[in-house]
Amino acid sequence: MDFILTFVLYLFALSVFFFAINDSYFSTNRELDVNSEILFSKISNIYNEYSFLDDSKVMSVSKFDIFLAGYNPLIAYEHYFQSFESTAFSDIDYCIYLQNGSDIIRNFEVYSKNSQDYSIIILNDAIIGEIPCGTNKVLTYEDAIPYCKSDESIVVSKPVLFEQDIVQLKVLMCGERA
Amino acid sequence: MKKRGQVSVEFMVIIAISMMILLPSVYMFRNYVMQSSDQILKSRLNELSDMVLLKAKKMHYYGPPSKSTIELDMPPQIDNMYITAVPDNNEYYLGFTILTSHGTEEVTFYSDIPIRALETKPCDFCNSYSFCECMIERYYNKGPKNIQVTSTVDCNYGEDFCVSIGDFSPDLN
Repeated sequence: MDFILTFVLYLFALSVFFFAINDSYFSTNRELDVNSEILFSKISNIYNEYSFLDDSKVMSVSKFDIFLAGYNPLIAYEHYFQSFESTAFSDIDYCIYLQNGSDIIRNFEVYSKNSQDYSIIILNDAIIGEIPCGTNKVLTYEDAIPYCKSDESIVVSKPVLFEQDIVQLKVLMCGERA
Repeated sequence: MKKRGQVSVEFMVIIAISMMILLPSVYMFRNYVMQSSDQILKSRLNELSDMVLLKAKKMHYYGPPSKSTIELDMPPQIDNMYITAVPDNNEYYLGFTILTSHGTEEVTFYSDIPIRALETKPCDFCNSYSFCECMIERYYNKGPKNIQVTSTVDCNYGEDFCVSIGDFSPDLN
């Protein structure tokens, strides 16, 4: 009798344990999330060829375009976003863009090493088909907006000074649940 | 001589008393289960709407093109799912027509951010309201759903941003 009761209590404790684990780790409704203050602080505090932001000011147009010309998305990922990886999502792609009202001024892609098919695209009625974000780094897209093919996406933004205008520096994150 | 007649009468009396106790009990139990079933359905809808509207609010404040997918199990007995609005007062409601033990009932949940349905169908319910849209049946029939809430600029009543609600179950994509 003692053995049976002990066994029943053991099973109960085990079930509580797995219930708690399942609720926290295996939950199917994990959210894509990033601390935007830390993210922009990290982007701003890079002092190498991949720095383009000085606190709330983007470097001059000519310097920025030189930066975009020599830009490598995978190296940029290591500099900007590698510390924000999440086990809940298999691929997290990023698109950084400057937006003034509804106009995209500049945009460039930053994708993770595991991305097979880059998921962020620009939709624009005037251009036939979809354009991966940042394909043409100096092309502006009027009335267009980056868009994610994956299930989850969030946008974080910060007002910055660019060419003596206050514009929005936005980071679009796209994630595919693992 | 065996007293077969007395045994039979006693047996019948026992059966009669048992039935008198059993039948009302079954009836009362049935009523209780049906009422509980209605309460369970409303509670489930409450939980479900909370999840969807909370996620929608989050995506709304992130801004377009933010989106998120919620996996949930839609309960049975839902006859219709719709969104009604009073745009001037910034009032939006996610509503359900449910089949209860007392007939059909309307259950609505308030949203303080603009919401709209991704796909709609014509329905008699919305004929009575100016700002109303009914969702297609695939969104609310019984079973697992992948409800996606997407912040968008494509809104029904002239809002700057709103959140569209739609089902993106994998087997239908």
